[in-house]
Amino acid sequence: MKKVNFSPDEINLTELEIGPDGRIYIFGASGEILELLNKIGLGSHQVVDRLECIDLAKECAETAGMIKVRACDE
Amino acid sequence: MLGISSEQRVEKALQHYECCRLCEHDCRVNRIAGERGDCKADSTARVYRQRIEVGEEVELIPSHLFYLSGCDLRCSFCIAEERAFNPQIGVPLTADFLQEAVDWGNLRGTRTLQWVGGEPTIHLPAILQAMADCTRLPPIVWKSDFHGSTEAFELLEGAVNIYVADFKFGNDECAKEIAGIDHYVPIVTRNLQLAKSHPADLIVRHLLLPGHWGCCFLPIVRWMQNHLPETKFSIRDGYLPRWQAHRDSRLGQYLPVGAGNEARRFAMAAGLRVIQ
Repeated sequence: MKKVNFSPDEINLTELEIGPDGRIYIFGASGEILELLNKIGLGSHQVVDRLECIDLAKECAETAGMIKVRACDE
Repeated sequence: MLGISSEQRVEKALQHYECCRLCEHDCRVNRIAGERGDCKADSTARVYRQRIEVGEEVELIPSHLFYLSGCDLRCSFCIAEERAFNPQIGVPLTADFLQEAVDWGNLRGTRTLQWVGGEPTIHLPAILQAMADCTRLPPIVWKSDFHGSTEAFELLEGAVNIYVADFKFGNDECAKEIAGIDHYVPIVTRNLQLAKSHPADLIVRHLLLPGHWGCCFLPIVRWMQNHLPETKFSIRDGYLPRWQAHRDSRLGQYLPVGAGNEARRFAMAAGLRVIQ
């Protein structure tokens, strides 16, 4: 199979924008960004719900023997 | 289009590159011969970004998103800006590319693979072709503006597991003014009914637009109430005034604080199945 070049910058990119009133807008959120937001006290229930899904997905992958590293480690 | 082989499906889809009727612009151009329709796309689909995201609806994440450049709409607030509209940006989509990316995603526990844009429908033949030669594909999510033709939806039937439909505007006037398209509501609602009849799950998504509560949000809720009350409804409140939005007094604004929760409460009170 031909080796495909992925751009690590693009893969890891999460766009953050802070609105004029201080609201934070996140696009393409990675699990790490959500964990970070949660740790610094900015984790809404939407963040927490999603973190639980990520944990579940990791567990499933680990159970299936598919994953040896953390979810988004390079 | 059930009961046909993936080869037959691909063969039928590829015919659109010679006379494109994939979306409701109905251009009928020969994209292989160099003709271009409203989307400006040729017969090569290009991926300008692929990554695992967790900001989508909870039941989809972690989702491996493949962003294809090129779109049949020109929404003035498009957050993807040039990448959405220039179909020449990105890496050509091939089966080799997809297989390696899928394997990469599977190792990281992705639950779904999601085609997004721009608009994936204009690249449906290339997507079907790439998927036909791949293995270990997770459930396929088709995130679309739902401006596709009935022929495109026939090709999708049985090829995708979950539709995520962007129901953007609640009336034809706003669609014309903001996205430059005619007959928006009849087309999108027809396609929603088509998708609902397919053996796939359906999530209807609406991005709240500032100043479009009465003209867009409320009519969409009413339509859902009358036609698809049991269908999952996802209200997005991450609107940002990007691209040409600043030219419009309403679209140039941010959403008021609390608009998302207010909309969700309203939709739930209307009996809709609101999901996060």
